Amino acid sequence: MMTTKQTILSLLISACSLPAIGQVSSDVIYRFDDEPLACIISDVTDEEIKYKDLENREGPDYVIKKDKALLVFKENGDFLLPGEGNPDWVTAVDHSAHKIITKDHHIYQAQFLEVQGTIINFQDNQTQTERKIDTDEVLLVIYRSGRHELFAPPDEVAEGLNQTSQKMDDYTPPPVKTTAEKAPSGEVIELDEDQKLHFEKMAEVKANDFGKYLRIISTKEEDEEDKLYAIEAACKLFISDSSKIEVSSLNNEKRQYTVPKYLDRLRMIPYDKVELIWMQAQLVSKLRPGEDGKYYGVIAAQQLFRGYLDNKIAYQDVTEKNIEVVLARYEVFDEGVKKQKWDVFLSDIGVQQTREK
Amino acid sequence: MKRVILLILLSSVVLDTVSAQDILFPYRENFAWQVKQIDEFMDRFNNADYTPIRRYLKEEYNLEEVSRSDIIRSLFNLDNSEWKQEEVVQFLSQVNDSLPPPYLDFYDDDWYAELDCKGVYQGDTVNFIMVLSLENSEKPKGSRWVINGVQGDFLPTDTVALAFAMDADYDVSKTLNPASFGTDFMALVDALKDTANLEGYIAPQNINRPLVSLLNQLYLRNLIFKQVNHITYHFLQIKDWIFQVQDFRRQSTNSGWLINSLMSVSEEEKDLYREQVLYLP
Repeated sequence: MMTTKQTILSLLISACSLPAIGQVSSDVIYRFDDEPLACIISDVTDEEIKYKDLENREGPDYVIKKDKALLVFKENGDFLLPGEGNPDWVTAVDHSAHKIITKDHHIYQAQFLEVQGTIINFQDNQTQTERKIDTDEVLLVIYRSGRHELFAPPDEVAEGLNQTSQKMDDYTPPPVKTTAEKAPSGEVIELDEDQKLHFEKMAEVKANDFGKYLRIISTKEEDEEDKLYAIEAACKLFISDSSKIEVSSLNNEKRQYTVPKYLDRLRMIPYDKVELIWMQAQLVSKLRPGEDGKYYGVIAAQQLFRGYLDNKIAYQDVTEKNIEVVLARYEVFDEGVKKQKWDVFLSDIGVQQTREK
Repeated sequence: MKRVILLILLSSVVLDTVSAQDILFPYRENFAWQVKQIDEFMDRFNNADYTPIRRYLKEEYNLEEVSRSDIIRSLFNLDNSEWKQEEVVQFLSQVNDSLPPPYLDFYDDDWYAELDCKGVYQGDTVNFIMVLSLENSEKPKGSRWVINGVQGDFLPTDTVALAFAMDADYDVSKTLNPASFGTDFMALVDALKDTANLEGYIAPQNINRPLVSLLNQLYLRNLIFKQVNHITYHFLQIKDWIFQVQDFRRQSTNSGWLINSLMSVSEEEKDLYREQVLYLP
């Protein structure tokens, strides 16, 4: 029989895959002749890499000599090649596209990347065509969220990255186009009132789904695996992984996080038990056309949060979330015929903390 | 009777009978009353029947009709002790009794967002003001927010020309969309770092010396935009009046975007206000 949790997840999550190393949010050190080490890098000196145990993030630093490490990947996708004698981190992530790096040192910028068995299906940004590539030809994929996945032994990947790292820095991606941004720029199609009403309702549904995911991600009792699935599913509600969440504290200091980063921080929340009550989200600003052919509106939601330590409330607050929503067109091929569809996505979120105890 | 209920709600008194319903009721009640967005403020000012508060009053209290005067009264910051009673009454009377009654429209020309901003200028934290307004375009049909006025004591005053060539065209995907107000213009943090696309955030017809100075400092990366501290909206559309709206976050039925200043002015005084308070060219 399905548990409540399973039911919620099966309702909320459409596509799931088991996370492997490099797919969960952690840094990874690939060592010579040893298993990859998932950890949190705390410092890199000329000689050493210091790291913390994933299960004990506040614990002591461990040390590995740099000459024992082939390749180091940070959670955000930056990598270091100590084995190749390169002292600097390389920024590899492009938040608008995934990168497929092949064994012949080619970098594909990709959308809709999907790994099916030994085949990677993707849409090539440069040619705007759908392509397939055998995983045998691929060194690794660096996803736009910062995740990475190796398809070759680490020493071969390190060698390949050494050859392509310069290209990685210099590479100028084609204009950013996510799934939802495929509509011709600037061309505005007017929606009638019924269509707008329909999408306004859809926006509220998505905002409330976001609230459900937040609850799963922040609940201590939930499995780590389920939380990761919930993060992935929550990210899919957004128009782009680079959508930001700006958090305002009571003293008006503001910090911005990308959505995956924000959700990952929420996952790490240090309480024994959490109560998160998501008040009904409402569209308070009508959808209005921007100059880029999309429609924009704002949803407001309120969240009550209580964190418990030793069965006592250690922290509680009320936050208000203002969520920008974007109604955008995208193209699909239906039996070979190109069609345009509309969908509504969440975008930037402002989080205002209003009360603390 | 319905009017009595409304007035009780407006004065932040929570009825015992409803507070017993559930522990979350006060939050829900406050949230329903809170003016969450500036365009919701405008809708309430117009007493539009589709606003969340009108829906809430209907569902929770079976209140179908609410007078515009009561709704507008609820849009004043009741914690401000400096209201001049006669002035407020005169304003309410003009808004209610004029023919045709004045309404606010999101696409009106004469309303502005004054952003109190924080940045880092040559290593030092600085505060400065940017005044934005909505720019409407017929082709492509849509709108974007643009920076019109700027005030910052640190900005060089000898600037006469842009330090870079500004293209008359701009990338429509690099603009502040019409709903940017919803997240207090947080998109400016990334937007003003993107110095290759600053064109999308200004309107060429509104270019002025302080704005050129700001753009130059952004372009030269002497100034890094950090955050919007506070926002004040200025409404100049209503004949003989200017009012300012600010955000008051508190657990109360009188919260959110509320009128915090009301001025009776002549047209000449409005011109002066645009120049001296809003730094408009």
